Amino acid sequence: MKNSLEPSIELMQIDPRTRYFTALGVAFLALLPLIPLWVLSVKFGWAFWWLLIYVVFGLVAAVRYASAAHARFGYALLDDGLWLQSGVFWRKAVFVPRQRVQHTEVNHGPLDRKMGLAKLVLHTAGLRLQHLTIPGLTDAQAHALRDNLLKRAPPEQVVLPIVPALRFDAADVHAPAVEASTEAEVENQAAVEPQDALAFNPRESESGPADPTGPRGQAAR
Amino acid sequence: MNQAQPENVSSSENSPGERLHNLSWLFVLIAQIWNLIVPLTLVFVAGRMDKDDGWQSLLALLAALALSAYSLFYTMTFRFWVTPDELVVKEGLFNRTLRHVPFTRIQNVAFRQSLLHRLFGVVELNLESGAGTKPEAKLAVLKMARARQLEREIRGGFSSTVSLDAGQADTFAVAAPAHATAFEAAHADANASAKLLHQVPLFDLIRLGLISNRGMVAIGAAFYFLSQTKLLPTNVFKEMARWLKTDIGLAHGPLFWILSGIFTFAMILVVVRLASIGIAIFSFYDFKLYAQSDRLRVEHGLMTRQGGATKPSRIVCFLLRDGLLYRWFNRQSAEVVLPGNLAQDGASNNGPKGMRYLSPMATPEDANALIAMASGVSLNEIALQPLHPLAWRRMVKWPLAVVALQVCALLLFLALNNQWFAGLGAVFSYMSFSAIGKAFAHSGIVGLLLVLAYIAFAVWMIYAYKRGAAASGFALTPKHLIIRSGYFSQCSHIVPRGEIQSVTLSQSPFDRASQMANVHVDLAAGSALETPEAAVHYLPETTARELASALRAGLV
Repeated sequence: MKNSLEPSIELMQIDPRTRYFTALGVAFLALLPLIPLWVLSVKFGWAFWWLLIYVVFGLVAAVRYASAAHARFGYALLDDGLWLQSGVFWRKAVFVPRQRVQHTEVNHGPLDRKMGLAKLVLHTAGLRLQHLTIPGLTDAQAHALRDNLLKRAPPEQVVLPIVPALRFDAADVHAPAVEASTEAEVENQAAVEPQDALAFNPRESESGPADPTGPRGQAAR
Repeated sequence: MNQAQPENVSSSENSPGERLHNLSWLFVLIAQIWNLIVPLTLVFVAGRMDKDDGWQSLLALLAALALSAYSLFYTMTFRFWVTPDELVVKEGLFNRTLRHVPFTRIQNVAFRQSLLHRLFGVVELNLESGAGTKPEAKLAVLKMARARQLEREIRGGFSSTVSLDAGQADTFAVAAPAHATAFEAAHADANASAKLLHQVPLFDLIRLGLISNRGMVAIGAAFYFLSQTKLLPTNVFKEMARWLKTDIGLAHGPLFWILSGIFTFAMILVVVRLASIGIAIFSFYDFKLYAQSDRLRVEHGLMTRQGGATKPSRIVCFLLRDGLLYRWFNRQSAEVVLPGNLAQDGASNNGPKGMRYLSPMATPEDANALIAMASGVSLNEIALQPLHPLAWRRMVKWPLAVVALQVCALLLFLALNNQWFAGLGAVFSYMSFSAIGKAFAHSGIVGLLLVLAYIAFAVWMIYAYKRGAAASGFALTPKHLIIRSGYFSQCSHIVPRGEIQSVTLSQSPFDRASQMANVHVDLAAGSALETPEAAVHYLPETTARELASALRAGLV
């Protein structure tokens, strides 16, 4: 895709279905003055078809803008960080190095789950650019991107001290007291109830590196 | 309340912990009241108007009692322990919070000492890490001797970890510069006494008052309260109106309003400047900058003495600012931006704010020397890469349009009132010198002069923008990014490249048309309102791209 700001970087695009959301948003904004305009037209006796032209123009503009915004939105995962480019008229490209990513979030909007989409939000320590959003990624893409940026180990190796007594099982009553914080326990629990919305699911609900060694010791990596 | 010592404290101490000074509650109470001073004053002012004192004074009394009880219990239950490596603090009334603050994490120290503090020989300390969250420890108040001893202990922690800096797990994902600046290497002795580097004399403070606008808020507030209590000096305006009408013989037309507006503005300006001078003297009296072991330390204030200390390597950005009035007085302002909210957004933290200025008023040579000493960059020796040659045209376009619009509006205004044409006639009929005095009284001439003044201003503005654009630019050294920008008031940023959080390349549609682009650099500190953005605008497109890629390469 055309990358006018930095031609040497190959950009990846997001899901085209995000265009619908953008188009809806822009159409809503464009048609918002319709009500006062209609009131005025009644008051001053303007012809009704001027309003119709405005509506058509607004819708066409919304669709064209959404297409352009999608075409101009791109990201690239470089060796040293993330490059994110956006904007139709006012274009900008942001580069965030890996070390400056404070934490990340993978969010799902109300309709995103149905479409299998997700949003990746990067938080930096900057003053003016505190978070960057990449919408329209698939779930797998979002998690892969996040893992790559944080350069963390895959979740299976993360040791979480889950206490078994929190989820009472009849079997636990007779089973020997097992140390909960082993990797096998974590994997079993994650495997047994992957879709249970109530159980703690490390992929969905955490918002940062669940690194039990404490705050981000970057130098240690 | 649990008075037992925390586990990591060396058992040899086995003490219930040190307490704050016995009168700390008084100072905490005063700080609380100071926070509420605006709503309390409003209550009293409204009370005077309503003339119903009963429930309002009772409310105020209850509030005062509640506040004093809170401050008393808070300070009575505050405990701290000092170990060789860290400070342990236990505070809180209902939620007892135990906090361990390693000395190595304390990057900035701020202190405050008002008249009342000095009376009792105590000082208020604020210790903060570079993390930008709540300050690590706020000790209000300690006896001077104990505070000095604590600072020395913290300093001891500083100089022993110059090499450990990079390994500390900061909550910031910032690669902390593992090296000390040349300044720190030169002053590494932890027990060295403070060396005075810079001092601001009283005359400079008067000049600072003339330049700054700090008085505006104070005057605005005073204006509001005076108007509420009917003490506003409206006589002055009546006198001025009478003088314009009768003594000068100005017709009661639009130009009368313009001139009276100008006079009013001038009066307000004078009053605001006087207030600013007072505030400048109060805040910055006897401003001193010291070098103490490997830190920079400032102190200033007339009645309340305050200041802070910080390591130069923790400074996120250096600013060298000047403006029209600054240049007139041949002075510049050298500022630093510190990480965390200690220095800038002091609103969230009641305590003393940290260092903000290396010097609020210094001669250009001194200011350059101070910045060079603290950052290692000597601005005089840096050759800036220039902006796009046509940058000044883009800069001047909109302001010029605004001025042109105002001139057109003024001309239309005068023409509609028939004074413009009358003025032209006056010019042709009053050609002799003796009639010039009469001519000035004629509104039309004044209108003509105003238009000419506007045009002269526009010409001067073009010149200023051209000169400003020629002096702007950027420079990239292996360790720093230097940006110079501005037309009327210039500002030089010196940003250590390790402090850059992200790099942004941007282009507006106007930039695309003229083949320019802008590079922004985001920092982890400062205030969004007060700190100017570190950005280079109006660069040629290719240069902007090269700068962005050079910055990207240097960030890793």
